[in-house]
This record gives sequence, structure tokens and C-alpha cells, in this order.
Amino acid sequence: MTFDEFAGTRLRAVLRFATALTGDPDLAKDLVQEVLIRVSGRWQQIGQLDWPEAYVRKMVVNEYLSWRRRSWRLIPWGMSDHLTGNPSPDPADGYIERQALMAELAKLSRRQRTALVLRYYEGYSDAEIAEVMGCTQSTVRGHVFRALAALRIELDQPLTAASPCKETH
Amino acid sequence: MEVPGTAPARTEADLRAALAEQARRAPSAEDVLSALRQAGSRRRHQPAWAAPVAAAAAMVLVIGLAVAVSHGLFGTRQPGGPVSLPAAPVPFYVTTDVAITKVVVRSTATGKVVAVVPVTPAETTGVLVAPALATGGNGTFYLAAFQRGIAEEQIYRFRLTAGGHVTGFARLQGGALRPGWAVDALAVSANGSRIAVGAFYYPSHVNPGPEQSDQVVVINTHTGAHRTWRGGSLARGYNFFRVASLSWAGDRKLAVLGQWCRAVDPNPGGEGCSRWQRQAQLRAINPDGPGGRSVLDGRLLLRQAPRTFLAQALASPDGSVITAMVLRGKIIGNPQISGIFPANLSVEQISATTGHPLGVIYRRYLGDTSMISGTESNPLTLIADATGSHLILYGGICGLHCNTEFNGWLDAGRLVPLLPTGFAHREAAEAW
Repeated sequence: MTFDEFAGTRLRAVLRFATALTGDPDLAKDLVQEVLIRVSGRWQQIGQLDWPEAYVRKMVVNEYLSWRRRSWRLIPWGMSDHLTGNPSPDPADGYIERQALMAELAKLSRRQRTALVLRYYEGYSDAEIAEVMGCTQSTVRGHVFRALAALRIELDQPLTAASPCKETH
Repeated sequence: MEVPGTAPARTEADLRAALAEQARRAPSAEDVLSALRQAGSRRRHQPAWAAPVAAAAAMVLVIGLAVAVSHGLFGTRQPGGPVSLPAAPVPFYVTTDVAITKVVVRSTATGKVVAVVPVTPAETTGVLVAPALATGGNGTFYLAAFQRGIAEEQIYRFRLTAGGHVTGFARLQGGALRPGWAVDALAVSANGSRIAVGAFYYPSHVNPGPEQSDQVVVINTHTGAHRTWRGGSLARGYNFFRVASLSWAGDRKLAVLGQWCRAVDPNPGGEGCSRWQRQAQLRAINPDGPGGRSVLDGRLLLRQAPRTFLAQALASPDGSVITAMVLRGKIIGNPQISGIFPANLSVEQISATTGHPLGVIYRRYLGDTSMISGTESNPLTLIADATGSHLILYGGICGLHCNTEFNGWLDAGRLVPLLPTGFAHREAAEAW
């Protein structure tokens, strides 16, 4: 597979993943663009992998977790709507609830958020999340456990107890 | 478990729906692809890097070529365990966290919160502009932040009493930025009559348009009048401008460390600036001069040398000394990732009048620096107190397994960690 083929067929999925991760389409675009610039320069190696997309997603996660300070310049999300009190475009309760949940997702630490996105958007197992995030499975469960508690999410199947984990960002 | 008075619990399906809804907002793949093609095209056609010719009339200091190193005098010890720490030279520091939940005053000696600055930042998705902080001396501090209910980012002023209490918190007259612009750097003149702002543009649905270069805005704190400087264009197409640091030499000279990039695409955040496509210069501009001019019209004080990265540079309040944070050497880490930051950090002082190096006051090996090559990443900050003699170093260039961050103040060549250690509160801006 060439880089162009990869970008042509998988970029949309990577962008959706990055948008779920960041909660911000513009930021996701920056993130993916930044990663793809590096990917394109190293495609000879990355293209040889069994599943290049997994590696690219891992790079997206790494980039997301490592951004700091000036990378975080942008953007007061929904600033105008928040500040001017503009009505929501969809008054349905479900929509409003999702907006509220999305706003609360944004308040999670990036590691917690990453763990949630990998588990509940991507459907990864704890082992797969641990591999992507570079930590242990118990640490992953710790992130998920705390994130779910913060969001007041009741699971269909309760999580097992989790060990504490270190936050570096 | 539901606490009385709180919202009812949500289900796993609610969470999946919210995440899916966020993902549906993904930008167009074509936008990214076209930006990528432009970046690739630029890389293929650009000549090898070459240093720009120095301006003849200006004093040009090429740091990195002749820096005196006083090995005996300046140590390089990393912050370690709880050895007896020296007495903090400044009793309190003001800090914010990245989540912008609080702006607090902490005891430098203990790290304990002694006061909370009464600003209520707007909620965001977690990527809200980190507020900027600066000290104006005599216990006066300035803070830039978006606040709930106010569309433009505002500058606020407050004072810290000797006991660390916050008084006189108020919005500064004329301290509102234009919509779409936000503060990334702040510096206060010695007599407090002016504030310099490094402002950046954030495109959004209400602020449309392509990425723009930063601007330097000088605000008269008495009248609220604004004057604006643009970056200008260096030779060889370095025309995308970022403000890296601001400092005042007295009241009449503003030292602007600008970073110019020559690989910029029109998409938000799409600077795409590699190590070889970036230049930095420290320029002194006259804040009394007419606005609308270029930073490059100011006197050249310092220029980034080949194979270095000039991250920060501050002028002392009397204008006699420049303190620069410089990276040299190799980019360490994953060879599959093309970082831009050399791994050897040093803080060096240079005479602003003679151009002679005065010494290296701190050195640090940053370890793996390959993980960040971000378009706007400048994760190293040098913060001076009002006297210019006490420095905080903050930052770190690291990725997922990050253990090389640092946040401390300099004491005779060593970095004393600011408490609490470990970025437990995800500090985003500091001042003291």
C-alpha cells in the first residue's frame, strides 16, 4: 500500500478518531496533519507494518498526549454560543444531554479521555489500550474507572477495581 | 451512586453516542490531504538551509559560537529528592492549570495554595487558551483569560499583599483583545504604564479565515490605547511569525523574541515548520513608535545560530543583559519521528551592550526530544521576576512516557523544583 492509498482510504477514519479524541474538529485536523507529515516521511517503514493504521493511530494518541502549552493555544470551544447565550440549534433533550456529556468529556484529563475513546469509540480491549498508551492494563482500568465516575456513567457490566495510576499531563 | 441534587447517572450507550457524535464532526479529509500535498511540495522544492545574512548596522550575537562555560561555577544537577532546599527568593508564585479551573497563588517554599484569583474562566473542551500571567513589580500581576460571559479575552490586574492575599482584582481599561485574538505572552513595563501582549489568532466558525501570524500589541494602561506590531518577513521566505517571549528593558524598549517560519499553509495550525525552516531573532522595538510597523524594524539584539533552537530570550529590566534559553546538539529519540528540538538545553547570559557572552547559568539534558515537532510547540518557558534576577524554568519536551519535564527556579546553577512537584496540577502559566 502506498501512502496515497493509505491516506485515500483510511484518513477519514483517522480523522474521526482524532476528533473523538480531542473533541475539536480543528484541533483534530491539526493533530492528524502533524502526524501525517511525519508518517509520509517515514512511509517506507510504516507501510511495511502489518497494520499501518494502528501505528498511525498510536502516533495520533502520542501526539495528543504530548501536546502542551502553545500547542493548546486554541480554541475556546463554542465560545460564542456559551458567551452570547445563543440557543442550541437542536432543542431536543437527547441532543442537549449529549452536548452536556461532551462538555464534561472535555474536562477529563487527556489520558482518561484517551482511554475512554479507545474503549468506547474504538472498542479496544484493555490490553490493546495499554499497548497504545504505553501503560499497564490496570492503569488503563484506573483511567476508565475514574473517567466514568466523573461522568456519572453507569456501566452495563461493572468494571473491576483498578489501581491508581500516575498522571503526567 | 447518585448524590442527592446531582444529575442522574448516564448509561454506557449515552457515552458511546456522545463520542460518536463528536467523531461525526471530523473535518474533511480532503482539507488535510491538500494541506499535506502543499507541505510535501514545499519540502521538495526548498533549498538546503542557510543562515540569513546579518543586518550590517545591528549588533548581531550568534549564540552558540562563543559561549563561555564556567564549569566550576555552574553546576548541572538535576532536581532530585528532598534534599534541603535553599530559601525561595520570592515568597509566592501565581500559577494556572491547563484545564483553567483555577488561577492560584502558591507559597514558593511549601507549594500550598494561599489565595485564589477570582477569575471564572469559560468552559471549553479542554483546549481553551491557557491564560498568560506576568508580574509588574511591587506585587502587581496581570492575567489574560477568557471569562464566562465575555467574548473577548481580557487582561486583568491584581495585587498580592505581603501575606499572599489577592486584592484589587479588576479588568484593565483597554485590556480587551479583538475577537478572534488571544494572548500567549504578556510583559509589563517597569513603571507599569504599558503592557506588551503576544497575540495569536484562532480561526473558528465565528472567526473565519486562515491561520495568521502573531502580533505584538502594546497597551497603554492609563489610556487603554493599543499599538500593534506585525512580524514582518525575514529573507528567504521566513514570513510566518510567532512571538516566543516578551520582556521590557525599562519603559522604553520592548524585547521581542520572534520565531519566523517559512513553511506555512493556510489551514489552522498548519504551520508545518521543521527545524530547518525556522529562524529566531530577538529584536528591540520602541513602544513609543507608531504602530502597524514590523518587529523587524527594531534593533537586532540576538539571532539564532545554525543548528540551535532559540527558545526564549529576556532582556533584563535595565537592558544590560540578555538571558537566553537555547537548545543545541542532536534530536534524541525515535528516528521515525522528526522532532525539531535539540536535546541539550542551556540558559546563557549575554551582554546587550557589548555582545559578549557572560556565562552559562544552567545546563540540562532533555532526553528524548523527538516526540514533539508540533507546529506551534514551544514547550519551554523562561520566567523572570520583576527584578529580572530570579528565574523560573518551565517545560519539557517529552511524549507519552514523560519523565523529563521540569518546573523550578534557578539557584546558583541548579534548578530547585517548584512545589508541588510533578506537574500535579498541569501548570500552564506561572509568574512571580
